[in-house]
Amino acid sequence: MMNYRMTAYILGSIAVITAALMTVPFIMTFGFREDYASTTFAFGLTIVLLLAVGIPCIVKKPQNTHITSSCGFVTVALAWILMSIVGAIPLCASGVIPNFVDCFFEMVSGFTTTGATIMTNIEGAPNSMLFWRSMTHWIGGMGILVFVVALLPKSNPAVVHLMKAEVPGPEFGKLVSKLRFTARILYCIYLALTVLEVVLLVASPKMTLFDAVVHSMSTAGTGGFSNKNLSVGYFNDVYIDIVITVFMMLFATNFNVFYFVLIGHVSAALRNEELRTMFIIFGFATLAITLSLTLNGIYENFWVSLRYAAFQTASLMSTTGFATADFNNWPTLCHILLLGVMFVGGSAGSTAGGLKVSRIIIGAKSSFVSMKKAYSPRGVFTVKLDGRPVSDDLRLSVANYFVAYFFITVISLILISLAEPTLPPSLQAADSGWFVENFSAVATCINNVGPGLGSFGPMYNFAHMTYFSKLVLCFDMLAGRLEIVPMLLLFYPKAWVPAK
Amino acid sequence: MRIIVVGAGNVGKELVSRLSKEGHDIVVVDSSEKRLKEFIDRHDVMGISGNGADFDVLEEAGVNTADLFVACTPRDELNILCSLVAKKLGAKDTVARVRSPEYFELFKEHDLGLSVMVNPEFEMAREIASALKYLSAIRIETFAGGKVSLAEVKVTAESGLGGLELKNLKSRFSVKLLVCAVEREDGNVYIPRGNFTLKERDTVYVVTDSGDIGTFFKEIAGARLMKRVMIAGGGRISYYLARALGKMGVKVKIIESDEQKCKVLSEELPKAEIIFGDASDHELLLEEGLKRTDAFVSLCTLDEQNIILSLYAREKGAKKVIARVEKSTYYELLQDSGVDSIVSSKAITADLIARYARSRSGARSGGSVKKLIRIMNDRAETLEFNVESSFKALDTPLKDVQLQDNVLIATIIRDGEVFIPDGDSVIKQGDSVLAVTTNEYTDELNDLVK
Repeated sequence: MMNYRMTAYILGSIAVITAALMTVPFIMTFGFREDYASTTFAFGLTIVLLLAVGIPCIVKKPQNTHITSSCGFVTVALAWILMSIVGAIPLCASGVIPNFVDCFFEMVSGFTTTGATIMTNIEGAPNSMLFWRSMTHWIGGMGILVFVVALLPKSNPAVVHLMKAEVPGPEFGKLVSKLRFTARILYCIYLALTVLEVVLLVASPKMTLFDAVVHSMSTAGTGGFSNKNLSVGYFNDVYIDIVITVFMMLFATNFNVFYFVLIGHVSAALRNEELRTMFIIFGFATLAITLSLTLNGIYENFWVSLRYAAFQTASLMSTTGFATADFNNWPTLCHILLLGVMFVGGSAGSTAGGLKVSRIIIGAKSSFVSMKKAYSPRGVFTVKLDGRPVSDDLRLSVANYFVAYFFITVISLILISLAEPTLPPSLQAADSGWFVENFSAVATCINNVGPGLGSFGPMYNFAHMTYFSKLVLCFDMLAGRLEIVPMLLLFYPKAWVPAK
Repeated sequence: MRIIVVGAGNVGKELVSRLSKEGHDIVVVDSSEKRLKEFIDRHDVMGISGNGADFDVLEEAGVNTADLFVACTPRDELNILCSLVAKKLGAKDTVARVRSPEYFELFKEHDLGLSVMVNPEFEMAREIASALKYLSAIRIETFAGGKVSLAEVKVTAESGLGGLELKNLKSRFSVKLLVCAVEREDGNVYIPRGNFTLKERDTVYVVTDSGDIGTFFKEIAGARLMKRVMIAGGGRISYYLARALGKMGVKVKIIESDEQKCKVLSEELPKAEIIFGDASDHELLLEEGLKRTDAFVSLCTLDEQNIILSLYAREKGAKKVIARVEKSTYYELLQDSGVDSIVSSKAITADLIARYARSRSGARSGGSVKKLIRIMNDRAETLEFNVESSFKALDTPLKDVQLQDNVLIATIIRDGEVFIPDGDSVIKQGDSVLAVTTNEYTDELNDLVK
């Protein structure tokens, strides 16, 4: 059931907000003296276009502002697709990336905070474009509709469906009773943490302010676009590695935790089961990879191994996708662990992707309970999260989510394997066999990570794929970011029926 | 205002939907997560699942900073307990729904630390009783401590009001009165001026001095006092209603199908006639004199039964028919069905609490709302204000005051005297003012002035 007038209103406000956000790189094109490229024109054109479409949609507020949850889902999915298309216009119009499908892939990857790129020479691109790429991470991380809700002057109870569709995690919890204040608090925390990271990064002599801002925005959205070909590895600095590692994990933390810390409930915040589990998984994976690297003699000693292992684990678990080392050359055990943490992902209510730690906890506990049930069929067991019982509905939705995730991964893998011919000769050196390659590509996209293995590894990119595969991966990225249901509803004809 | 509502039942639903529309910060506490989810999908509120008397739950709900705490679970004891705990934890105001007469009396007489108790059954009985007082009145509300009455009257052929232009009202009646709102058959609501002409089948709201209201009703429909009332169902509302009607000298007959309940009622209501039998048995109703009764009130538990019984009573000639209907979806259906009044305890309770919240919502400029009554199916409000020195149009003749559209100053009460204002009247500091408006969410007197 669609309320098209309201959908148009929401999309219109997003268009206007996107135009407002795009003025930042637009102004930068003057500051960086990029007259040689047509970036000024490209951004200007897109802003005019957005305003021309957006303003007519929002001049009059719709009378019926009610939207159903399915309408909310479809609106959110449409918003993300349209945003990616619009975001791609400057890239294409300025000629930085000549092909529009490539631009679209780059922008989907940006907004969904994946960070998978098709750009082969990043450092050759104009700064304003690189800034816009990272900015899409920042916008997509917390979500554009959450931003719209934060700007709402008056509450509309219907917009809760928009927040639900966009905020990741099995359940959406409000911080305060008013939705728009919840959204504002989330964005304030988000902004504050981002600024803090910029300050800490710019303290390092190796980073310019521009580098710091680009990397902070990419970290905040847990995206992974860098303005360097070698990603964070370019700086090769322990301090920068540590700062980014810490912030990647912070942004993979449920923002409710920060809110509870802010209002003084520190102990309650730290007792959060998801938080603890996430750091336990992170700790174990880091330790195992460190040991594997040390024992195989990849790096000179334990501490160097720890530095690279911690950074890479944090990068893939938070689904950021920065790289300081080419983990293609690491032992197989490391690959499997890294793929594992990719699927686990960050916490619910964070900017990270993946399945989310809370779903893993509920899923693991549910299967443990069914095992106990097999042993004593009459026993009654409850699954608890944070000491509270998890409802059967929630358990079922988590189980269904796993199944849907699995199917999308497998189907995408099949489609990509159909479309991908053998690797071009220039990349033969990186060949790791089709299964590892394609599986890692799908995994990295659906989990919104960025780099995969083999020819999709951190030192390579997605440029050599066929357009068909790129579009399949775009779908995966959007499905991963919006947690499947909104994207699938787009293909469900009944969802498009107008309300009355 | 920060409001915590414990109990997401029928009353809670109604209450939250009203309060959240007024823009308050609301936290709903309920033990059922499912009910809470429904709530959060419909209203912009926060839900916390758990027991409302649990310390941790209340703390999570932010009770220490709450301006108003409302307990409206189905259980009296829990409501009382919640409210007492909330008060201890720092809630500024607490409202508890308490239905059982024993507790109600107990807490009313002794100051045990509850701000307000709401007894929906009692309030409902009072409302029905006031509507039954005069045959042609659908409903009567009082303001200014009972000095001013607002009566809802249907314009019928015999009332002689049809075709009357409002400026001729003065000559038609010997008492001073004011028609403050009219609802046409087509559903339109008017705040009428002097050139407005009444039509048959209009629903009219009349404001007058409470001392004159009897005269008014005599003059419109001839002196017909209520003598016999038949009540179907012997629940608590019937008990309160029979007691109130007994005091007015009306003969009451209660039909109840539970023998035990009948016995208790007959002990407690010596004046009333208690019939043990099934009210849905038509023969029984006729035998007990349905045709001779002036009014029939159906207060059974099932909405549907109440509707059918009252329609039957109307057909058999009861002059006034009142039914208790809780499902709001039925209201529209019943608009022209012949049922004179529909009462709902959920709506009454929600109304009372919402009114209380409104009167508490902080400092207001111009004057605060003392009492609020919604009329015309919630499409208009009657508000009583205390006039304070900050009122913008103090001491200005009303003809020079630019009122908002759809606002009418219905009465001015000064030193206990009731005036129906005209263009030369002025509003002074310390007055009470009764205003009628179709604009929503007015909560200060200055809102009425342009």
